[in-house]
Amino acid sequence: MGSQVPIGRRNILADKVKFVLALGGVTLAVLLILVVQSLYAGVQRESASFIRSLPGNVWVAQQGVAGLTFSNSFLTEDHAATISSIDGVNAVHRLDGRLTEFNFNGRSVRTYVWALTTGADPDPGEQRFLPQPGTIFVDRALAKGDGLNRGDQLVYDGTPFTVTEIGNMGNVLIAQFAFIHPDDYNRLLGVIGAANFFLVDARDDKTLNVIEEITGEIDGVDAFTTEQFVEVAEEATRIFLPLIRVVTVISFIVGLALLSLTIYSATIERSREYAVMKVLGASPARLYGIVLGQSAIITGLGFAIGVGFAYVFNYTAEDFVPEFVTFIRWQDVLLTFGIVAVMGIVASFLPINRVARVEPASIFRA
Amino acid sequence: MTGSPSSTGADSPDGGPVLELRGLTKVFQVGPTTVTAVDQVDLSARRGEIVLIMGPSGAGKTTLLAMIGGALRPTSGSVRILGREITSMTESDLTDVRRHEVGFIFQTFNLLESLSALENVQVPLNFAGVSGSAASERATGLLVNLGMESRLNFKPDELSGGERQRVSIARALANDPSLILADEPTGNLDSDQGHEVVALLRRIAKEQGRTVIIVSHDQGISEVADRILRLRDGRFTAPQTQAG
Repeated sequence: MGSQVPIGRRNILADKVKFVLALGGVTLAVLLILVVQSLYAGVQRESASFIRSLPGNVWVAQQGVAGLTFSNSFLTEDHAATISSIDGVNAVHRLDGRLTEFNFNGRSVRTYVWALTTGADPDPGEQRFLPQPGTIFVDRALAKGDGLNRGDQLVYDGTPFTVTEIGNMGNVLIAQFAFIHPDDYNRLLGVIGAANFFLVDARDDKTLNVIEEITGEIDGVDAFTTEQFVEVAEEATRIFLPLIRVVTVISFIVGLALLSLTIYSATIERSREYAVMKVLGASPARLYGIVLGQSAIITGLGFAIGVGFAYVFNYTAEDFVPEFVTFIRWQDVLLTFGIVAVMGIVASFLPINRVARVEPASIFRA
Repeated sequence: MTGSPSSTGADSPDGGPVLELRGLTKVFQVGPTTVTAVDQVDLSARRGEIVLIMGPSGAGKTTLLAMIGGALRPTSGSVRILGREITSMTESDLTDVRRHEVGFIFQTFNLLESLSALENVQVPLNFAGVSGSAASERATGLLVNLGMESRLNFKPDELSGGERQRVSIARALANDPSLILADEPTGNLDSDQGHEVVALLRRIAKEQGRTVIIVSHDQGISEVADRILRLRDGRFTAPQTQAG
């Protein structure tokens, strides 16, 4: 069977203004949905990447803590000795951090400052978290957003910190990370006798035993493998989900409204032609196919253009908003495709109903 | 009824007429008023015959034509095309009859505006399951045969009235129907174009052996009609007139 006359395509392309309007609506919807999804995925990825890049394979946090930055974990620093004595533990590192406001040339620079105290000789990969006293390593997005360069001085409570490294320290959209020396942290920001997290370097074959022993011996703590803690941190980012849902619903409504109006008006304007086609012997399925085909053309094109725009937007957005950390996952592209497909089907309901009610005899009236 | 069943010609598969109406009636309810648009009409038409139905506006001509074409269900009576009773058919079977057995020609042409002349003729072929190059070749042949070879890719709004009607005729012939129904086919044409279309309809009837039923006010058509029937208040008012 060969090709058929593409009636739907011809009809929808006949009115360029309406076509562009509907296409724009669907494209905008796809763009908005994908951008917010990619921001969410970007935050999750950055957070996971940060956790995985730190030393140790067991994370110890205060019981009930949800993630890295969205709640505070307070542990007693004496726990380090208890953990060290557990069989299978090679080293215990300590990680402290809090949101801090520095002064930079009279301006406020807000960053989440961390300090890593290593319990063993650091390997080369960990050096990027270990600045010298009086210096600070800052995240690339923070530096770009606040115009920081190597050699600049950030001041906290009268103490200057010289920026000596700008790199991928960590960026979770609402906060960008920086590292200072543990001595500086304890002196200026620390709580006496308290630590935030312990990162335990346990023997691989003893990891689960170590976790069991930690939670058994120390009250009020949770211990996780690194990957479990990545999941805990991902859970914490769910606070963004209501926002994502709202944007998705608004995008869906905007896209659906423009698409529905276009398909419906294109059907109304051509209702006589649908009657003609009925008289010429078109089956109901063929006529519904024409309506759905129009919808599919707009949603398909809108989806493709929207995905393209989302990639371009994500690629260029960091130039304008450095804090934007985005990652387009194929699952999100698939989800967006599903949303757009539903949009196309819903937008076709009324026009199909209208076509179904068209009387073939109506064309005999001039 | 005062209509005039044809007594000649028997060309359906069982030897009967191509078209046969018996007691065909259509009653509309308009608010509290009952309007009998077509009242007990009988008619029979043989293969290759041109039947012209004339009458004043509101006489029921178009309603009659719509019922013959299976586009409107009668209140009572029967319509037989090639011996098959169509009034009791399911919607799906009726669609099949319109697709294969009946070709329609309209006063306002009713071409699909976004499609070219060639595509307009391909559309009913597609509906009948013919597509691709087979549909294209068949549609091209029909249009060339009607002198439209230089207008194949023109949209309806780029064609003259006469050219549009020729496309409409080609479309009506696409699926090789036995019966052609023409509703005021010259109504939107000047007299030259009208004569051209009437000549074409005669050719279609006489050379191709199709039965042509024409509804029109146009006296000019009467010269090519084999029979002229006059409809008034839903009834044929006088015995048939044999033309030519």
